[in-house]
Formats: sequence, structure tokens, C-alpha cells
Amino acid sequence: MVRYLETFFRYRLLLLAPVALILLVSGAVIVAQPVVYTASTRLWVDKPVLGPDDSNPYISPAAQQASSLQELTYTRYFTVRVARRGPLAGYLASQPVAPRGLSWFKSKLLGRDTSARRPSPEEVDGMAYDIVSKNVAVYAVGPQIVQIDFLYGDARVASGTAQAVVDQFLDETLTSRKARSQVVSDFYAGQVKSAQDALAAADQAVNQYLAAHPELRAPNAVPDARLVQLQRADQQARDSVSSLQSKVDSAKLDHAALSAPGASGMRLLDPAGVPAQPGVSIRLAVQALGAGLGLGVLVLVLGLLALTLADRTVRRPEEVEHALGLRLAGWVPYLPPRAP
Amino acid sequence: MMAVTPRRIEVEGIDSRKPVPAQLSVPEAVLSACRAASLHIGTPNLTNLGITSTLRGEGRTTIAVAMAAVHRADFGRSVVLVDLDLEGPTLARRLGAGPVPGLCEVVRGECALADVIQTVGDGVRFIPAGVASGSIARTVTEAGKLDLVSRIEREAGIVIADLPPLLGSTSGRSAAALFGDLLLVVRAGVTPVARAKEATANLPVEPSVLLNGTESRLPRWVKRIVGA
Repeated sequence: MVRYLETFFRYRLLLLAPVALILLVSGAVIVAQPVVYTASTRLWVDKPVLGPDDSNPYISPAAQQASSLQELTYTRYFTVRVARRGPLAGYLASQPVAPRGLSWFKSKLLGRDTSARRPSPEEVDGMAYDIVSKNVAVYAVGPQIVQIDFLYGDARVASGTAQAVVDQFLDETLTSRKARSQVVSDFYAGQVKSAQDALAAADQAVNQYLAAHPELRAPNAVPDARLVQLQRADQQARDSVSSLQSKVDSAKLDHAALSAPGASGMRLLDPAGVPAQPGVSIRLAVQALGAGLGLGVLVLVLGLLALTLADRTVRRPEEVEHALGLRLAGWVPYLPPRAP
Repeated sequence: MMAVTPRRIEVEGIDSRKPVPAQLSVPEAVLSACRAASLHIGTPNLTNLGITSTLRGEGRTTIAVAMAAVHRADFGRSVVLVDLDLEGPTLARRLGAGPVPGLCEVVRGECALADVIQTVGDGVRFIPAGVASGSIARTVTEAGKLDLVSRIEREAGIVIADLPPLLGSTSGRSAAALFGDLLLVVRAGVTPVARAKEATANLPVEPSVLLNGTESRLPRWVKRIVGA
């Protein structure tokens, strides 16, 4: 341990220089990044009031919705719709792109044109997916407020896309709930039909029995056991139809209610404005500095190990007996050379 | 740093606390270290001491001079300093003494031993290397055959010799074999351990080590934490 510390303090400039250099490079990378604008919007999230409340009671509504939205931003389906809904797709389609890096090399090698050209719709979708999935940050700022940030180099595109993310999310939520409500309604409608068939059969069985036994139609006639059984079955079928019909009505009501404004359980508090000032991407800065620091520490540790292990000399009196196997008589401290 | 307070050594028949001759001036830190090393090796019984090293430039000559100064000034012994580094003698110039005649001339029979001994200070005498002709290794072997070290011992309380390095010369090992006690000067942070081990392997006498130029770069606060 002391040996390593000695090595560190002996070569501290040599060991710390690469760390400082790497951190400087990280700083330069951050500074050299193109400017980015951050557009933000905020949503208010209510607990679901329509339909079954199948939400997790231990997670706030905002955290639940933030998690859902963040998940959606990793899908091509959602990101492409966001890009087309907002200005991003149009902006990307209008920017000529030239092959870079490996694509450029491949094009050169194959003798293809390497000049800038407008991207195809598929390429725009691909770029939109990359941009939206990487540049959207969703987080809950409170139990019921979700914030959505979108970073982009163009302020208007940043603002429009942030708004498109929110709008698309609200639409997706509503569509999903409507679909679920429709499924419920359709299911109960099918059940009602079956129940109505059963009721008709039960009615018919009672009528047939009465036709066969007309004495039982008299007002003061005492019904026999068979008739009582048939009448009970008929009543049960009628109750079942009635119960299922009320469920169908409820599902239809829910479905109709989802068309009303604010039915998604969320409402927009702060629409995305056009950001005035560009800023540095905090995520990029943290990543660059973290990577720089990590690499610097690695270089420092490796350098320290290399210098210590490569030092095959005796530096401290305590090392003499162990290293040389000889008795130590004494030691003379280092004396700086005298000036001539 | 070796913090040894100079002590007055009382040895029978020895007059201690003499002034250090001007020719033997070395920094106090070196003298302190040599005092401690002398006590460690066993000063009262010491009659001859060869100062050697693994390679050249490890501070052998300075330590030899410091040892002479300590033995004279602290222990009051009559000292004869011998330059046995026949390949690169530097002690004469260091002491401001004449380089010839010296040991080589005695070995060749050109001079008597008494003729080559020079006085460089009160109680300190010096025998230069002289001018070697022919094989240096052979000259050293001849010196052994002539029992020169014992003969010099009769002239003084202690013989301190600046020996050639063990690996950097042809006569290092044979010169070291002439002495009953050896002090190996090891330059801290310079002498490779493997070379030092190679140099000291199979020596007739196991040398004691004087680590020269130790320096801790640890700041005080770090030393406090690690207890170094």
C-alpha cells in the first residue's frame, strides 16, 4: 500500500496528467456539441374515474403514466407517429443528408454517389425513431404531474415535437381505453343474446306445460312441482338477461363517455413553448464527464500499477531485508545536489 | 531519515571526540547514518571495513570518507583510508592527496608500505591506489597474497577501504574478499534488486547494507494516515 502511495506521490504529475487531459477532452467534447433546445410540457394525471381501476396502488398515477409514455417512446410505431404529427418528419425530410463514416467509405468503394440528397420516407422514419427515442425524457415531478422534455437543435421543431409527444400519448391512451370499453361492451352483448335465447326457451317450456295441463291455468289452481320448477327456471333466465343488459348499458355509457373532453384522465397543464435559450444537454455532459473520469481513473490505476511493478529497486529501509536478504545497517536520506 | 544522536563512545584505549579533519567533510546527515551503521556493524571489534557497492555511482566513496570521519571523530580511532578501486580511483582527488605512489606500487615492490601512506588529517592517513599496470584483478590478488590489509591494520586502529563495485569492475569480488566486514552501499530507487542479489551472491562475507538516498514523497498527512 505504502509502495503504491509512494509511487503515486513520486510520479503524481505523470499520473495525473492523463486524467486531466482526458477530462479536458471530455469538456471539449461537451463544448463542441451543437446547441440544443429543450422544450417541456407538463401533464396532470388523475386516477382513472371510468372503467375498472386496475392501477398499482403503490405507484403514483404520474409515475405510472410516465413509465408508460417512456416505454412508448422506445417503439417505432409511436415515434414515427409523433414525428408525423409534429414538425420533426417534415424538418428531417427537408434536410439533405450525405453518407458519413462507414456508409461514406462503402459508397466510395462501390463507386456510388456520396453527395448530399434528401432522405427517403423510410430513412426519415428511421431518423425520427432514433431522435425521439433518445431525446425524449419523461419523468414524474410530483404524484400527479408528468413532465416531458424533448431536446433538439431547432427550437421550433423541439417545441412542436414535445407537443406532438403529449398529443399522441393522450390519443393512444384514449384509443386504448375505447378499445377496451368496446371489447367489454361486445362481450356482454354476446352474453345478453345467449341469455335471451335461454329465456325464450324457458318461456316456451312453461307455455308447453300449461298447454298440456290446462287445469293449472285456473286462478285458484295449485301448481304442481314440475310447473314450479319450470317457472323458477324461467325467472332465473329473466334475471340473468336483466343483469347482463345492465352491464351492456354500463359499458356503452363508458364508451360514450370516453368521447368527452378530458376522458383520458390526463390534461395538459403547460403546453410546449418555443425555447428561447439553447443549453447543454445535461445527460450528454454527465455521460461525457463520467466516461472521462472513469477512463482517467482507469489510466491512473493502470499507470500506478505499471510504475510500481516495474520498479525493481529498493526505496525504503523496510524493504531491504525482504528484497535483498541482507542486514540493514542504516540509511542516508536523499540530499539534494549542492549548487556549484 | 535516520535520527541518531551522535554518542560519545567509550572504548578502552580509544580517545573519543576528535575534530573531523577538514579533508573528510561530509554532510551531517551522512555522518549520522554512518554513526548508526558503525554501531550496527560493531565498531569496537571492527579492524577493517570494505565499502563496496553493486554498480558505480552509488555513493561508495562518500560513505568511505564519512566512515573514516566517524571512526576518527566519534570513536577516536586512528584510521587508514585505502583506495582499492584501482580501475577508477577518486579518493585521492577527493581528499586532496597525491595519487601516487600507492597500493599498486607496493604490490609491484617498487615502494615500501610506509612510503605510500599519506597523512590527510589528525589521526587519518590515506593510501592511494597508485598506477596499475597490467591486470588489475591480478594486482588485487597479489595484494591479498601479500596480506596487505593485515599489514595496514598494524599501522592503525581501523582500515577503511573504498572498494571497486562488485559488478562494475573486474576486481570487485576479489577486493571484497580481502575484508572481514563489508558494507554494501545501495542507492535507493536506482540499484536493481536483481543486480544487488547477483553481486552479493557467494561473497565470503555477508555484507551489511547502507541504503543511500532514501526519500519519502508522502506528504505528512498521508504518513499520519498510513502510519508510515
